[in-house]
Amino acid sequence: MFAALAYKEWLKLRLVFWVPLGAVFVALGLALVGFRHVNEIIGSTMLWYDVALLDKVFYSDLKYVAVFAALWFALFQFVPECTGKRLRLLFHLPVPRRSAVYFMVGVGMSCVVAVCLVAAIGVACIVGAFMPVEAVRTVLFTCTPWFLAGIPAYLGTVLMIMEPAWPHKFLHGAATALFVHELTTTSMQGAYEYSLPIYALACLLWVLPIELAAFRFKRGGAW
Amino acid sequence: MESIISCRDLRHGYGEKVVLDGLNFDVEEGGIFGLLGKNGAGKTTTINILMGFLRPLSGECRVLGEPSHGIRPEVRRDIGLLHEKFIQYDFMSIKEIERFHSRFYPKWERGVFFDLVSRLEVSHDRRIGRMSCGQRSQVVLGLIMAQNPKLMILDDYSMGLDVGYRRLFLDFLQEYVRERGTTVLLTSHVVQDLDKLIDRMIIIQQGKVLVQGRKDEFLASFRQFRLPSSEALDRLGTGGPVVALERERSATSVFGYCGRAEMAAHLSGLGIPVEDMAGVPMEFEDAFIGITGKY
Repeated sequence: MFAALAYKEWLKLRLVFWVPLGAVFVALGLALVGFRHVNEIIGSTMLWYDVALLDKVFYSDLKYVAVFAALWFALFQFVPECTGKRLRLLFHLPVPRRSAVYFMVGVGMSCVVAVCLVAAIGVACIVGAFMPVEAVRTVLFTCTPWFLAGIPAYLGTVLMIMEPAWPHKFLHGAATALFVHELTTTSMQGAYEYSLPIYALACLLWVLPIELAAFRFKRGGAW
Repeated sequence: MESIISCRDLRHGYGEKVVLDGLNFDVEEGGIFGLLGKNGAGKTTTINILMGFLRPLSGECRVLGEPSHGIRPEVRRDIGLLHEKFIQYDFMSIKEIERFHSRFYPKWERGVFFDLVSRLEVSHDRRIGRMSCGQRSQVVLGLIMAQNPKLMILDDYSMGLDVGYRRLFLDFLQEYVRERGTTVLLTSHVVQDLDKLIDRMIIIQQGKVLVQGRKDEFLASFRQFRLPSSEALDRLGTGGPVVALERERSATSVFGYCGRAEMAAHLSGLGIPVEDMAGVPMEFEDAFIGITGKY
């Protein structure tokens, strides 16, 4: 049965999966051009000076790729699933409701994580080509909150689509926008290094309302 | 006979509007059961409660022995549900939607689905979202039939279908039900189609049961009498053998579950001249309008 649900998700995402990945490659390309420009035209001393002393970030185009991927996957997964009360089709299938909904969310989250992994590996390789491993570590800590923002962005978008009542949609949207803004507000190197675990735990707050939104949808949105 | 569906004292409303007001009915195994009523009578609300998509304010529904708000996945395998407006996954093609659904149902019959869908003369790679409402109705019916369920619930199967597709839909459904003994609960606002289709029915109005039982018994016992207008007739209301009234400019139709003699005696007793009272033969649609009213 979960193979059938996976088949459904594959049908929805097979053609559009590559778009966020393309965005990652564009952002990585721009980062590479930035590093090469400073390293080869201005000089490696200036690159060290920019990165180590001026905290300059050459990969800030990666800041929104996870959020973009999250919005993209959530829209392509859940708009065809929820418009015209189609979520009822899922709830009538002979699978437990909770498992079916979280399976779909799991597939979408996996896609977001896959895109973030490609971005993280890509930026690590680019920085590693010009800088020592300590710099790579700092870069990854700088990017992690941006990638982490993909989780609330994805779950928040799913909630807004799935939730049947407009006031609830608005609340989910506002809370998600604020939290995503908090995670993507700065490009300062390693700014979130010591607070990342707390932010990661806070992302889990978006998991439970998915079940509640599904429940409310099933029961006609009133309770 | 065993009850496949059982609803007891069902009450529901939206705000101050009462939609279901103590609805009680049973659907027994086998045959086609019509849940009928005019627009806004509470048909879709009842279906939504039956399928657990709505929680009633009070009362209880049981479907295949399970409370409607908590039907187990294993039991849902035996319920084929046609959602209002034939909703399905628009992004899937005919081939893909068959492949998707077949994994959930152990008694799946691929041949039944493709037999019905092949008559549409559209490519099996055609997406559901690019099909007409009529074509989509056949795909959805094919999916429900291939599932081989014990119970089919068809919510407003006629919505958006022209007469050709309605006939096609009903022909397939009747043949299938006759062969397999499936129980069908359906709602529709096109009453003329149901005359040859349903065996038993419940007619609801403002959330209450007007008629419940076998359709042929209802048609045999429910009569219409037409009388020329008179002052005494204008004062007549429902009560006694008079179940419903339909007033026109020059004549009034009186409906009731009695013969001419009993009705004439009742009306005469009220001072209404009955010399010109005539029985009017009714089709099912006439009887439905007679009991529910035109407005």
